[in-house]
Amino acid sequence: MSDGEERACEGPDSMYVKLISSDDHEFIVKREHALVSGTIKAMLSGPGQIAENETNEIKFREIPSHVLSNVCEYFTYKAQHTNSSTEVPDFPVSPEISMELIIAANFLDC
Amino acid sequence: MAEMLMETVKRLQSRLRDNPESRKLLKTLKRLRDVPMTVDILVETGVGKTVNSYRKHEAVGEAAKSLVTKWKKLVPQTADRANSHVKEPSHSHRGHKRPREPSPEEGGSYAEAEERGYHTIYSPSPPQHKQYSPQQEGRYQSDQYESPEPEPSPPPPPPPRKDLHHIKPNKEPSKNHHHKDGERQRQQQQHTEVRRSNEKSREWHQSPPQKTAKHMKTTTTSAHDRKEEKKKGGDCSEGRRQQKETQPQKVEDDYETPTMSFESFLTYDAPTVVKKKKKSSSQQQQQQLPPSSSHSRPSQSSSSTFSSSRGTRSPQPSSSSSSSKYIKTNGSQSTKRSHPDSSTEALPTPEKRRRVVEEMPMLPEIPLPAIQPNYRPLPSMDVTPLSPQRRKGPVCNDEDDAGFTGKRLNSKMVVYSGSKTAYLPKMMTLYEQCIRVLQNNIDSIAEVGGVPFDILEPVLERCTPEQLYRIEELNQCFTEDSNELWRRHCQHDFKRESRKEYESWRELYLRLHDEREARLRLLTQNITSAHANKPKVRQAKIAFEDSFAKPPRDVRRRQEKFGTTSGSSAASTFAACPIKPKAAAPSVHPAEPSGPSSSQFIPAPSSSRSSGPSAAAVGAVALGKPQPKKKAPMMAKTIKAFKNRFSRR
Repeated sequence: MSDGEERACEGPDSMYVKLISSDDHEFIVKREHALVSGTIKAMLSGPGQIAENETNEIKFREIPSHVLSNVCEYFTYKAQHTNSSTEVPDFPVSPEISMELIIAANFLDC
Repeated sequence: MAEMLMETVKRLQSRLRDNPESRKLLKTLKRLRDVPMTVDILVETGVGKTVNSYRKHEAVGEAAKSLVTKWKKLVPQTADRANSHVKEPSHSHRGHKRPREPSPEEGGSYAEAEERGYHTIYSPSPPQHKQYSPQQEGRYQSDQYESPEPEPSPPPPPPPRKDLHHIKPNKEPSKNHHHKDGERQRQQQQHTEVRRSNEKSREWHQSPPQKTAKHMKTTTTSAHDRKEEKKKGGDCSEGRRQQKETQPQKVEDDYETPTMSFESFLTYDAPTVVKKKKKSSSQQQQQQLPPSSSHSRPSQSSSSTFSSSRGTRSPQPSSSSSSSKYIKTNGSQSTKRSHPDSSTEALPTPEKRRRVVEEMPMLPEIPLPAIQPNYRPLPSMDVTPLSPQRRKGPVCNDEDDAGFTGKRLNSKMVVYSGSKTAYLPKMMTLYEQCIRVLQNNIDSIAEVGGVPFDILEPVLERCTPEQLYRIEELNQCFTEDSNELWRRHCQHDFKRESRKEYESWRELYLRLHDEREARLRLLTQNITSAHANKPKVRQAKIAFEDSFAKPPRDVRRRQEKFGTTSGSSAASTFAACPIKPKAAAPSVHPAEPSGPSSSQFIPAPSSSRSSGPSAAAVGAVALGKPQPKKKAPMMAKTIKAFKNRFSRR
C-alpha cells in the first residue's frame, strides 16, 4: 500500500489506529474502518481527554486476539460493501468463535 | 478356314466357361493363343470377353490378361476410328449415350439407348453381344492403361463415344451394351467408340461432356482406381462386377436410392472437390435425360454410393469414376448412371461440404464460454471501485462478445451464481452475522460462557423445545429467562392445556410433554401385545422336516447312477437338490454336506441356514460316515457349478 504516509498512529488525525487485544496483539487498522464500531468511535472522538485520543491506541481486555482479528476483518468487509450496489456476500464467521465474536460484537456495537 | 477357326474359338470359349479348373483353363487359353485370332472372330464369339473374365483368376489371370492384350492389339485401327464417329447408334450404351450426352438430344438418345440397352439386357442378342464384347473389352482394357493420353484432348464428341465404349469394357456391362448395341450394329463405330469409351467409359456415367472431362482426369485416376479397386476387391460393386448377369445389376440399381440428395449426402464427406463444375454440368446433363434417369437414378445412386465409398479413398473424382467403373461392371446402364451420379455427386457434395464446413465452425463454439477480454479475477477486498462492476461484468461480457454464441445478445440476463440467500439484502452488522451463524448451528451450542440471554435470544427463539431444554441444562442461567419461550412452545404444542398455579410455562410444558410420552408408550404396548396375540401371517417353516422329499426324476437317476441316494430325508434332499447345498454349505457348515440338503426347500437363506444345522445333524445321525463320502463327488460338482452364484449368502 502506498499511502504516502507512515503507518503512524501518532497525532489526532493519524490515518491508523491501533487495537490491542487481551493477549497484547496489536492490530493497526485504518481509522475510518475502526470508526464503524460505535464503541471505538466513542473512545477515540469522545469528549474529554482520553488517553486513546493521544496515542490512538485502544486496549480491549476482554477480547482475545483471535476474535479481534475477525473484528478487524469485519471492518474491512463493511467498508468494502457499504454503498455497493452489488449483492453483498455473507461475512464468514466460523461457528467455533461465534460465541466470543458475538460478545465482542455486542460490546463494540458493530 | 475362318469358319473352322470360329468354331474352334467357340469351342474353346465354351470350354473356358464350363471348366473352372485352372489347368484346363490354362490349356484352353494356350490354345486360344495359338489360334490366329481375327477381329471378326473376336466380335462374333465374344471370346475376348470370356477370356477377360478370367483376368483375375488366380492361376490363369496372367495368361488371360496377356491374351486379351494381345487381342486388343488386333483392333487398334477400329478404336481410333471410334472417335471420329459422332453419333453412332452404338450398340453399346456408351456409343449411343456418348454422342447424345453432350447435347440434350443426345441425352434423349442416351435415354433411348439406355432403354434399349436396358431391354436388350434381358434379351441378349448373341452376335451383337459377341461383336461388342471383345472389341470393347479389349479396348476397355487397353484404354484403361491408356487413359491419361487420349482423354484430355477432345472434349465433347469423343467423350460421348468413349463413354459409351467405356461402359462396355466391363464384362457385364459390355454384355449389356452388346445387347443394346446389337440393335445399333455398328461394329466399327463400336470399335472406335469402344476405344474412346474405354478411355472415358469410366467417366461415361457422368454427363457426357463433363463426363469426358472427368473421364480424362479420372480415367487416369480411374485406371488407377480401377486397378486399386480390382485389387481391393472389397467393393460390392466388384462383386457385382463379377456377376455377369444383367438382372442382378438391375436389382442393384433398384436398391439404390434414386434421389440426388441422397447421393450428395452420401458423398457429403467425400473430399472430391476438383471437378465440381464438370460434375455439376454432368449432373445437369444427366438430369436432362429423363428416361435414362430412371435407369440412371438407381445407377446414379449406386454410383454415388460407390463414389461416396470411394470418395474417401481417392480424393478426386476419379474415385467416383472408379466407382462408376465398378458400376459399369455391374451393368452398362448402371455405369452410365454412375457417371452422372458421380458428377452429380461431385456437385452437391462440394456444395454441401462447403455448406457443412461453413456450419461446422459454429458448433464447437457454443458450449465453450469465450474468454472475455474484460475478464478479471475475483477482486481483492481493497478493490472497492471495481466491486460494483464485478457482477455486471460477466453479464456484459457475454453480450459484448458478438461471436460468442449468437444468443442473448441483447437480452439482459443477470447471472446469479449460488443461492439467493448467498447475498444479503442489506449490510448486516457483525452481531447480526454472528446471530445468523449461531442460528444455523444451534445443535452445536454447548456451553455459552458468559453470554447473557438477551444476546442469544434470537438464537434461542429458533430452538425446538428439545434444543431449548438441552441448552438450559447446560446453561442454567437461561432457565430464568426462557419462560416466554416456553410459553410459546406450550401454545404451539398443547393448545388446550392451561397451567396450574405457580407453574411456569416451562414446567407446564415439561409436564405435558411427559404425559404425552407416557400415553404414547402405553399405546405402543397395547398394540404390540395385540399384535402378538394375532396369528402370524407369514412364518418361515421347514419343509420336509420329517417326511421324505421325492427328488425329480433326473436327479433320482443321477442318484442311482452315482450312488448318492440316501435313506434319510436330509440326505436324500441334499442329493436331490444340488443347488442350494452349495449356497447353504459354505455359509453354514462348509464341511457339512448334508446340512444344506434340507435347505433347498426353504425360501429364506437364513432359515435355510438355521435348518441347515438341524438337517445336517439329522442327516449325520441318520446316515453316519459313509454318506459324506458318497456326497463328496456330488458336492464337488455342485460347488463347481454354482461357485459364483451361491458364493456367500
